This record gives sequence, C-alpha cells and structure tokens, in this order.
Amino acid sequence: MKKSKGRIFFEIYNYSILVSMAALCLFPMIHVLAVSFSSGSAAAAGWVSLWPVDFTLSSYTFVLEKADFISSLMVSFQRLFWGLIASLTITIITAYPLSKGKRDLRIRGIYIWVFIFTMLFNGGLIPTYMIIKETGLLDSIGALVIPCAVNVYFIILLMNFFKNIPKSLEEAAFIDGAGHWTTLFKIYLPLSLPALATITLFISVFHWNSWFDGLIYMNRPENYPLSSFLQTVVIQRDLTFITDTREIEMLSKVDGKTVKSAQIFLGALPILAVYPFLQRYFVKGITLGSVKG
Amino acid sequence: MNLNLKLRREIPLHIMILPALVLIIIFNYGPMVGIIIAFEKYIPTKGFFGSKWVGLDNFRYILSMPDIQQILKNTIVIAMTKIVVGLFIPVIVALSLNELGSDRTKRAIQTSIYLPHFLSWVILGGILVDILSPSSGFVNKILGSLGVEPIFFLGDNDWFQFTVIITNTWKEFGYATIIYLAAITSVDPNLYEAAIVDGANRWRQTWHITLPGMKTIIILMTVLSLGAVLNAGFDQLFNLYNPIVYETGDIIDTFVYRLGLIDAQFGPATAVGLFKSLVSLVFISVSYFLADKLAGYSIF
Amino acid sequence: MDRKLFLFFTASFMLLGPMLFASGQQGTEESEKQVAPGPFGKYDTPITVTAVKSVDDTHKYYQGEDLENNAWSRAYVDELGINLKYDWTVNGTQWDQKMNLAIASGSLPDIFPVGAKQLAMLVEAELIQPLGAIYDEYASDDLKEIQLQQGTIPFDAATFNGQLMGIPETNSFIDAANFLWIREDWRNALNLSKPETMDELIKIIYAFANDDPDGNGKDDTYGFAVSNNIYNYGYSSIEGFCNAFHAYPTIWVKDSSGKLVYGSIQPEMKEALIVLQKMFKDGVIDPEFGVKDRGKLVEDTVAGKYGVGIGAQWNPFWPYIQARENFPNLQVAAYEIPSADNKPSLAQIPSSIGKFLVVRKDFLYPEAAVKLTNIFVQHQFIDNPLREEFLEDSEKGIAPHKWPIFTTWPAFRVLDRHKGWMAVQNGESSEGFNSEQLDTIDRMNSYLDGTDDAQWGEWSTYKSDGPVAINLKRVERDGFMSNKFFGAPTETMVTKGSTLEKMEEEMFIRFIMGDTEAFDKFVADWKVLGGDSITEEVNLWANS
Repeated sequence: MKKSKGRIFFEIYNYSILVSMAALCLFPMIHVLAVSFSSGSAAAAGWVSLWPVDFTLSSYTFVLEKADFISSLMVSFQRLFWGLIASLTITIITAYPLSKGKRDLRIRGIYIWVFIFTMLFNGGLIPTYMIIKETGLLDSIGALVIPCAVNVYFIILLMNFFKNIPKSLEEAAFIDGAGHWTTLFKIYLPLSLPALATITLFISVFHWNSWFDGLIYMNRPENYPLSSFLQTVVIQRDLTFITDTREIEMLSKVDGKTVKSAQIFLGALPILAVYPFLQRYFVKGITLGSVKG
Repeated sequence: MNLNLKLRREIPLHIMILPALVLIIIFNYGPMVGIIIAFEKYIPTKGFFGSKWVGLDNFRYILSMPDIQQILKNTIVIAMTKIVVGLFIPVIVALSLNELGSDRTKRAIQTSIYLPHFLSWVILGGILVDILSPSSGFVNKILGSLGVEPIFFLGDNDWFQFTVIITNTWKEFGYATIIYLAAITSVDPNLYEAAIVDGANRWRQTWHITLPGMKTIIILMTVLSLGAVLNAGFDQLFNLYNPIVYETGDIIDTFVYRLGLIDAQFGPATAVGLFKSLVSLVFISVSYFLADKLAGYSIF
Repeated sequence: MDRKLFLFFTASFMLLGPMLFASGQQGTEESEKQVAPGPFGKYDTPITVTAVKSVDDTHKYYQGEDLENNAWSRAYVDELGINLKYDWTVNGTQWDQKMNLAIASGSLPDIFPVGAKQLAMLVEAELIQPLGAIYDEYASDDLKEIQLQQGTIPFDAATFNGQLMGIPETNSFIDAANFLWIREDWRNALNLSKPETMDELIKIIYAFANDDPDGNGKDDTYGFAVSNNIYNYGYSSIEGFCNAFHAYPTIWVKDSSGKLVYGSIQPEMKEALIVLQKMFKDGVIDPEFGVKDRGKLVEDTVAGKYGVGIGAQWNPFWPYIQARENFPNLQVAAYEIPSADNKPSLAQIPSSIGKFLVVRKDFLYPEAAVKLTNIFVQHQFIDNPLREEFLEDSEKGIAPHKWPIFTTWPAFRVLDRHKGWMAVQNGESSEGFNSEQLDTIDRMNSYLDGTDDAQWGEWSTYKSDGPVAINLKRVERDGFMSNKFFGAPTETMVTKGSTLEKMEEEMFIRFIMGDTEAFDKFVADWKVLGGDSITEEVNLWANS
C-alpha cells in the first residue's frame, strides 16, 4: 500500500513525539543509575546528570554488605510471593460468581454492594491497626498480604472479563455434568490467561510499591519491605538534638547520595527485569470487558 | 429447571465468595466501628465505647481551623484535573502507538513509558526536585534554550498544582495506556477490512471503529476514577510539597495524616476522614447512575 | 435489599464490637512483686520488661549480637536481673506515628522513651505513672549529679501538677549554639576583612555572591546559605542570624516588664527578616531556597556554591569535609555572629529536652526505669577504668552507647573535649581525662602529624580558635539566650502547636521571598489561632 504524503508526515511526527515521551520516562532512572556509579563528592555536588562522574562501584559494595537492605529485599520477595498467591486466588474465586447473572446467583446485587461499599468507606488507620493487632497479624507478612487480598478493583476487572466468555461454553460444560469449580478451572481460567497476566502484574506492582503499611504494621526495621525501608532512607533526619560531633560523622557516612541511589536502583531492579517479559501477554490479548457492555 | 436444583447450583458460588466476604467483614467493615471516635473525645484506655461522647464538636473544631476551606479546594481541584487529564492522554497515546508500524519500536516505547509507574513517589520526589529546579534542572534548561524564563515548578503557588498534575500524568499515563491498547487490539479486524473496502481512511477508521471499540473501557475507567474525586494523591503530595506551597498543595489526606498520626488528634482526624468518605459516596453514586443512564453501562 | 444490608451491618458490628472494646484494656501482672532495694539492687528471679526504641542505620553491633543481645543488655540481666525485650523498634523519622498508634490502640510497653509532646499527651490520657518518689529513692548519686549539672530545667520539663512523670535525657544545651561559618579561602581570595560587624558580614555575603570568589569565571555562587528548614540549629538555618538583631525565634524570652513573650513575633524578628528579604531580592540568597531543604543546601555547599552559612559546631564534619574533597584548598573558620548594633549578640539555645523515659501506668516495677539509667551512667562515665566492652570501636564504627534503652549525658561534653586538647597543648598531663577527651587528642594528633587527613573535621572543630573555643568564650561572658519556658508543653501547645509552627515557617519563608505583609499577618493570626492562650499558659507557668 502506498502511503500518502500526509500519512508520512503524520508518521514522522508521531514517531518523534512518542520517542521523546519514552526518553522523558527513562530519564530519572538513568539519572539514579548514573549517580549510584559516581563518586560520593561528585554526586553530593550535583554534578552527575546522565553519565557517572568518577566511576566507582563502592556504593554497591557498601549496600550489598548492609544487612538491613538485604533483609528488606527478602521481606519484599516474601511479600510478593504470598501476596500474589492470596490476591490471585481471592480475585479469581470471587470474580467468577460475581460474573454470573441474577438468574444464576440471586443475591448477586447484595454481594456487589457489600464489596463496592468497601471502596467508598473505611474506618481509618487506627481502628484498622487495632484489628490487625487483634487478629495477631502484626509484625508478620500476613499483615501486608491478608488485609489487602481482597482488591475490589481487580475483582471487577476480572469479573468483566469473565462476563465476556461465551455463555455457550459454560452451558455445554454443565450439560457434560461439570460443576462451577470445574467450569472455572477448566474453561474460564485457560481462556483468561492474558487477563490473569495483567492482574498478576497489577498485584505485583501494588505489593512492591506499598510502603505505608510496612511502616505501620512491622515492628522492626529489618522486617520492613524494601519500599518502606527506602522511605526511611530518603527522608531527612531531625538533627535538632544532635550535638555530638561523633554522631554527625557517622550520619554523614550512611547518608550519602550515591548509596541512596544504589539502593533505589537495586530496589527497582527485580521488577524492571521481569516486567518487559510479562508485557507480551497483556498487550496481545486483553479484552477486559471491551467487546460489549 | 426446578428451584431445588437451582439452589443447589448456587451453593458453590456462595462458597467461592465466602473467603473474600470474611476478609472484608474483618478488615474493612470491622474498622468502620472505629468511626465512632469521630464523635468522641477519644481516650485510648477507655476504648471506643467508653470515651466521652462529644457529638459534633470534632466537626466544629475542624471547621474552625483556618486552612480547611483551602484544603478542600486544593483536594477537589487537583483530583478532578488529574482524572480528566489522566483520561485523555492515555487514550491519545494508545491510539498513536497503534499507528506505529514497527512492533519492536512499539514495544520499546511501551516499555519505556510504563517505567515511571514502577517507581514510588518516595523516590520520584527526590528526583523531581532535581530535574525541576529553576537554576540547574533539566526541564528549565530546555525551556531556557527556548527563551522561557526559569519556572519555579515546586515552589510557586501558581505552578505547584500544575506540576503535581503533570508529574502524576507522567508517572501514570503509560500504565493506563496498557488497558486502552488492549482494548484496541481486541477490536475485530474484520471491521477494519470492511471499512477499507468502503474506502474509509485511517482517521475515519479510528473515529468509527477504534474509538467505539474502546468506549466501554473508557467509561469503566472514568466511572471508577470518579470515586476518587477526593483522592488527590497522598503519596505524591506527601513527597512533593513543602512549606511555601501548603497554600495550594495541602490536601485532605495529608491533613488527616498530620492531624491523626503526628498530632495525635484522633477524634478530629477521624471526623475529617468520615466527611471525606461521605462525600465520596455521593460522588460515586452519582457517577454510576450517570454511566448507566448516559452510556447504558452498568459496571456490575 | 436494604433490610438485608442493615442486618448485615448490625451482625458485623455485634461480631466485632466486643473484640474492639476489649482491646482497650491492659493486662496487669499477676505475680507477686519482688523487691530489689537500692540503685543497683538485683532482682533474684530476672524480670522481663518490655520496651520500644528508635534506631537507625548508625546502630551497629558486633558479629552475632543485636539490640537484645549486647554488652548493655548483658549488664542489665547480670547486674540488675532485668530482661529487656523490645516490642518494636522503629526508625527515628517514623517514631511519632508508630508511638501515636501504640497510644491510640492502647498497646504500650512497660518502659519507653517519648518526646515532650507525647509525654504531655500520655499524662493527659493518664497512661503513665509518676516517678518522683521512685527517682529520689533509686537514682544513684552519680545519676543525680550528671542530670542536675544544668539545674532543674530538665526536670521541670517533665513535671506536671508537681509530679515528675518522666526521667529526662539530659544533654548539653550550649553545644547546640550556632556559629557563623565562612570559607576562608574565598575571603582571602577577595581580600575581605574578618566580619567584626554586621556591615562587614553583609559585605562578605554580597561579595561571595557577586565577585566570583572561587575564581572560575562563572557567576555560580550564592551569598548566604538558607534552606526551607529555617529553624534547624544544624546548617542553613536562620536562628543565629536573627540573634544578631537580638531576635530569638521559636523560644520564649522575657520582655521589659518581665513577662514571657514568644521570640518569633517580636519587632526585632521583623528587622532580621527584612535584611534577609533584601538579600533574597538581590539574589544573594538562592531564589529556590523555598523548595530546598537542609539536605539540598548541604549538597550545594559541597558543590562549592556557598561560602557563608550559619550552623552548629559540627559543620566541619558535615558539610565542609565533603566539600573539601571537591575543593582541596578549602578552608573554613567559625566566627562569633556579629551584632547588628553595638550591643553584643547572644547565641540562642533551645534548652529543651528531646526525650523522657516513662513508665506505663500499671507496670509493677517502675524503679526498673531508674535502675537501667543508673547502670548506663555507671558504665559510661563512672567506672575507672571504663570497661572495654562499652567503649567505642571507631575502626569498626561501632558505638555501644547506642544500645541502651535510655541514655543521659553530662553538660559541656563537646566543651570538655576541647578543654582536654587545650590542656595538653599547654603541657598539662592527660591523666584523669575521660575516654572522649583522649579520643579527641588522638585524632587531633593524627591529623597534625599527617597520618590521617580524614581527621580534618575533628581538627577544625576542636582547635584553639575553632567553634568550641568561641563557645567557651561565650560561657565566660554569659553569651547565651536560653529558652525561658522550660516547663512541660501546655495544653494549647499540644493541640495547636504544630499548626502554628507550620504557619510560622510558611509565612516567614514567604516574607523573605518578598511578601511584605506576611510578617504582620502571621503575628495577628498567631495570636488569634492559639498563640494568645499559649502566652497566657506560659506566663501562668512562669508565675507558679
């Protein structure tokens, strides 16, 4: 097919806009990477932009020997693992019945409202904290995984996807004597792999980036997931009551900008490494309720 | 089908819902009991039901605070603008990406524009102060080369909200694009073939086939985001604001945080939270109603 | 459907109500109380005491040890029969929220350190017990001696209705005083005289901003380092500058009638701010200072953008030693802040206590709090010689004094290091010096003989004409202005204080940035929004 002149102009324009957008999005991470490989004094002086100044690996050797960084990283992986299991299971088995019509599940409307209501109302931080404490979850991975296992937003996404799976498939299965569980696992899930891939990514990002709950529910800094740990790293300290010179000397050593950057980069690395591969799935075949209303 | 069989058929469905139901009763409905402290002078040792009942005193106290009107206004302005901008940009980007011929370029660009989404605001906050700096920042250097006077993005009340909205869009647009792109890819290719046979050009195909194909998902996204009309983004504001832009940057959530967790004024903080929930409830109800009436779409 | 929903809510309410209700109560110990008389009396069967602690990444331990297993925890068990268990530990910056959550949910440990404001809250909520009689009975003589070196001020801050509610963590007040720091290499390059008067200082500031002090041919320097943390006593704050105008922001001072007034709202404060405003307008203060926190200013200083700043005696350690890596010729000197008129300036000091050790109301062994503090004082300062396991291992960067549940410090610590050094310089013997003094002498020598250039910070701080020497002169001429309000936070301070502080910083930054109405507006608002009642409460305290 021959391209018209206008089309060619459009394509050039389109390319350049999109490419510069992409560059804009990559910039901060590259900056962080460059700082992490620079010498402390050059970084503290703000001389680093996109390329390391006085290249050195010292911040990485420092960070990788830091016990609390490593333990936070481990906590994050555990959180990701259990979080994925809990949230995926709950999302799947809840979305399936809710995707049924009123004919199949008569009080669906009530269920829906009970779920939706939680998106609108919450009891606030302190009562939630007390519940977590009373259920004995405090200071365990459970506190970071179980209360947020039900995510109504993900459930609605998957529910809408399920709704678009042809009814005839389900009816055929019923005629063959299959129950709901079999139908869900043998028919719905295999047809929903792209949607599941997307939701898996959503859940992973959610768990990887959550920082506030870790700070509140964990009782030891070494039990913080990485994001919570990073929050305590990048924040500024109150020096009003520090008068001892020795104290300041120690602080200046652990407060280095390059060390912070190295931690930030290492913290983002696992997801950066995994997600481009997941991308194949979710761009290819996600319908997410878009065929019909 | 007789009624008995129907009922029996339903049982597995109820069982499937049960775990989620138990969890939200414990972790979402349970804490709602605590809303009671919005009406109390809460004393921890006396518990939720033993503290002194003060009626609407906490609400009056909040209303008497000098900044409250400004905080409400900031919240709504920031949140609404985010919703609107956050809706249009990803749709446009998705459509533009769809026009790219090379799949590899497309994927490379996609991979890049999703990237900021993975960085939390804690990290971005620090980076943004750097690159938005009027004297040494990357952005102002570019603007300077175009002859624009340096702009004080994070320190000027005229610019702060704009900056918040733009940086939020920058962080999230790639991510939202996933969903729209997915919708585009799922449009039936036969429709395009038929349109080409009818002589429709790319613009017309986009307008008459692609966009209608995305309609449902656009409505879904809009409706879901409308519930967030009072969620101006705690994580972002918390990590970007500073004293001189409190005037335009303080929002309900940062206010509740300071009041409740730093100043330990549990009653008033809960009162503000309750107020926020009630208003959100109204907004989301209205928006669901509108989605149903205007687009014939019910999200559940 | 509505009816069902209603039933659902009622059911869940009933299900969860009792659970929440019950959670507000504390368990009380059943066992019979053991007696362990005297400051160092030991419990025969070790008791378990729960606590919480703020930690950060400067807390380092020897291989295989941790917060609950180290030289100090062993001393607690072996010498006192106290087994200290930490319910939680938290990074210092998260302290307030974690503590407030613990307070709100009624899950307090037995013994814990708190800040002044939380102390007042805990007292009001009746969650902690009075310690006056227990302190008198159990505190060792050495503990009392150290804690009273600066008078009763530390105790007044913890006294509510005549009762001592917490053990103060005393610290050296005067070591927080600020100095004027000037890059001498720049001053010499521009042939400027030492700042004896405010005019001379301002001349230096303008010259550093405009006359290319680093000689790189670029206009890339500013005159005066100010960050948006305008009050931080550390670096790039303005308290010291205001002191030159006899303004004392954030602290309470006596007016001519003897009444206590808030320093930030006095006319002198406006004078100081007007000078800063002019500097901002003339571009000698960074136009971006409103978004730059102290950390950012440190970066800029390390990058060689600043040559004049006001900060603590430790500034050579941070930021100047880092700046010196970029600019090997860098030299800094501390100066007394010159007065704006012919009256000598006084350096303000916060004279407030950051931490108090408190005991939960129903806890059976409140004396444990005092005993634990006794042990600290004993092993940190009194033992002769000090035991090896409690000494700092500077090679490994391990500081055992970070491990105890609670610490308390003698006055004039930093001053003493300097005095020790000076004594040795004057040919006196170092016999009887404490470990800190000996440490400083070691480091100074290793800098002077060229073996360890990293001790430049130590040298610049403690040398004969360094900041500490200036402080010593201030002690001699009574050159400090301390906070005249040192009681426990008043009721309005607790509820409105932080709002007012936030407003103050915001308005003053705006004033400096050219909003000329901001000061008067702040003063008026401050009074209406709680300041007047705070003033009343403060004066009530002063008269009682």
